[in-house]
Amino acid sequence: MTRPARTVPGLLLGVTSLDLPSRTTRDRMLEVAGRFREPESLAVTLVRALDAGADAVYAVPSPRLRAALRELRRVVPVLPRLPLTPPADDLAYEHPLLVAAPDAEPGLPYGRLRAATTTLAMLPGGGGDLAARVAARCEVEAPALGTRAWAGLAVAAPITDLALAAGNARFFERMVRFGRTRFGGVAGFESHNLGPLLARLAEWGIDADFVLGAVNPRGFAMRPDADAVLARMAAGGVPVIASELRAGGTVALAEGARWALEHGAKGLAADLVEMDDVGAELRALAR
Amino acid sequence: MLEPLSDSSADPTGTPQARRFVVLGLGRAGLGYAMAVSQQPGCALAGLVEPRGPLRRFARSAGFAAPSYASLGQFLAKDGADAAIVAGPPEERVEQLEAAVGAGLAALVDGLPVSHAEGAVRLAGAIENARAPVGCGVGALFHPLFARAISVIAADVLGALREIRASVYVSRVFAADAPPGRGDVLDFAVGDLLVLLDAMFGRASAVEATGQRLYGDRLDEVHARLTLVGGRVAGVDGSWSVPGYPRASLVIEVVGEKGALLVSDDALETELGAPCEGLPRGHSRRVLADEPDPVAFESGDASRPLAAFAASLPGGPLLDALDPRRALRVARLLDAIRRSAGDGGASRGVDA
Repeated sequence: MTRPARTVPGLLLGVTSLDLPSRTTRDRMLEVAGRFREPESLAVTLVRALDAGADAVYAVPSPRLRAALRELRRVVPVLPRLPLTPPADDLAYEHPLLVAAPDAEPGLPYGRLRAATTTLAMLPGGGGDLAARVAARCEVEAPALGTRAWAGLAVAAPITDLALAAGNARFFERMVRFGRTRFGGVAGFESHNLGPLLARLAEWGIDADFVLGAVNPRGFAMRPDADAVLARMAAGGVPVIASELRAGGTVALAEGARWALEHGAKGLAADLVEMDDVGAELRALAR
Repeated sequence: MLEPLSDSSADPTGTPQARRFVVLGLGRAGLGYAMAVSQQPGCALAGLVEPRGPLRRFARSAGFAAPSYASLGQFLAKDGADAAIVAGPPEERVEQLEAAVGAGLAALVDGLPVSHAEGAVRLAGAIENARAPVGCGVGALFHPLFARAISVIAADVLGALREIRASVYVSRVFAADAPPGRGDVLDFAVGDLLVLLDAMFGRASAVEATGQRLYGDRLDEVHARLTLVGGRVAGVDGSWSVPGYPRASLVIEVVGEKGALLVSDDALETELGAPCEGLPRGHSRRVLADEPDPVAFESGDASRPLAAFAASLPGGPLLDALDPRRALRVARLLDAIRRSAGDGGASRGVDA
C-alpha cells in the first residue's frame, strides 16, 4: 500500500515562547508575554498570521492559547507540540512525564479516557513503553487546546532528545504512527539536536514527516555544529522545518529564513518573539 | 561527515578507552546526564542506579540499555565503572557521593552536592581523601557568557572594584497551598549565583541577610550583603518573580575604577579601558550567539560539565570550574545566609 503524500507545513507561526523557555532575552520574553496577556490580542494575531500565509500555529496546550482560540469563529489549524513539559517541572525531582499532567479543564474527561484507550491500543508496550506513555500524555493534554483542527503532531524536544540519546528507534516508529492516526496531518519531532536526529532517522529508516530544529546563518543552537547539520540536510531524508531563524536575535528574520530555505529547509517556524509585526513579516516570508 | 552515533549499550568511540559512567539518581537531572554520557565521545553508560522502582522502569522504557540497580553496591557487585554521576535528590547526594568516592570511583556531582554546612563538613574529608577526581558541575560556570565574564574579571582589567551587585529571579508563581515540594529559592537558584561570585571574586568571609517567608518556613526572598576575603563587598538579591521568563535570570554587575561589566544569561556588556579576552576597548555587547559553544549533544545543564569532566579522566587536570571546594564553600555560605536571615540580619561568619 502506498502511503498518501503528506505536506510539510511551509510556514508556521510559533507561539510556544509564551509558555516555554525561548532563546531570547528575558526582556523580550516579558515584552511579548505582556503584549499577548489578553486573549483577544493573541486571537487577532493568529488570524493575521493565517491571512498572511501561515499554514498552522505551532503551540503548546496552554490556557492562554485556548482562550484565544475561543475568541475566534474561524478555524485555526494547530500543530501541537506535545507533551507540554512545562518549565515549572524543574521544581520536581522526577522526569516531567512522571509528574501527573493537569486536567485540561474540569468537566472534560475525554482526554483521560482517550489516554487509557490509547495505552491499551499500544500494547504490548503499554505503560512501560515510552511511546505509549507519551501518546497517553498527548491525549490528556491535547483537549486543552480546545480545537479539533489539528495539522498533525510534533513531539516535544525534551522527549525526542531523550529517546534519541537512548537509541530508542521503536519510539520514533510508534510516535509517527500514532501522530498520523490520532491527529491526522503530519507527524514529526522537535529537537535540540537536529544533526544527530537526522542521522539516526536515516539510519533507522524512519519516515517521519518532518523534524523541527534550529537552522540559521550563525549556526546558533545547531548541534553538533552547523556544518554537520547542513551536511545531513543536503543528504535528503526527513524534511526539516527551520526554527531559531533569527539566531537569538542577531540576524533579521527575512535573512535567516532565506538562508534556511537556501540550505534545504522545507518549512519555516517563526516565533512571536522573533517578530514585531506578525502579519507583515509572515507575509514577506510566505512569498 | 558525521561521526556515527552511539546507543547507550555501545562504546560511542568504538575504542576500548571509553570511560564508563554509572549514573546515581534517575530524576530529571540524572536522565539528562545519562543522555549526555550516551552521546559524549569517549564515554559509555555502564549502569543506572535509583532506589525508586518507577524511576528505574521509566529509564528502561526511555530506551537506555544499560542495566539499572537499586543501589551502587548492587551495581558494583556485578559490574564496574570509572566514574559516577551524582544526581539524586538533594537529601541523598551526600551519601551518594560518599559511596562513589568510597568505591574509588571518580565522581561528578550535578550542581551543588549540599546546601548546608553540616553536609559540607561531612563531604570535605571524603573529597580530600578521594583516590580519583571529584568535580561539581554547576551549569552557570559553563554558560558561555558567564565563562567569558569570569575570564575578564580574572584578567584584572577593571581596576579596583567599587561595586559588585548580583541578583537572581526565578519566574514562578505558587498558590498559597501549593508551594514548591522541596527546597527554597536559595536551593533553587541563589546557590548558582553564589558559585559564580566565588569564581569571580573568591570566597565570602561573612554575611548579613534578610529574607521573606511567603509559604511557611522556606525562604522565598533574600537580600544579602557578602563580605569577601580581601574586604570587598557584594550585594545579592534573590526571589521568585513574575511569570513570563521560564528560566532563572542571573545578573552580575561589576563597577571598577577602570571599567565596568554587566553579565547575565542574555548578554555580556563591558566598558573596558583596554582590550581583554577578545573584547575591545570601550563599550561592547555580546550575546549567546556571539560565543562559541561546542556542545556535541544538548541535554540541558549536563552537557557542558560532563564534557569538561570526561576530558580530565584519567589523571588529567580538573578544570577550575569543576572544583568541589568551591561548591562546599557555597554550601557553608548558604547556611550562613539562612542563619543570618533567621536572626534579623545579624552578621554571620562563613567558615573557610
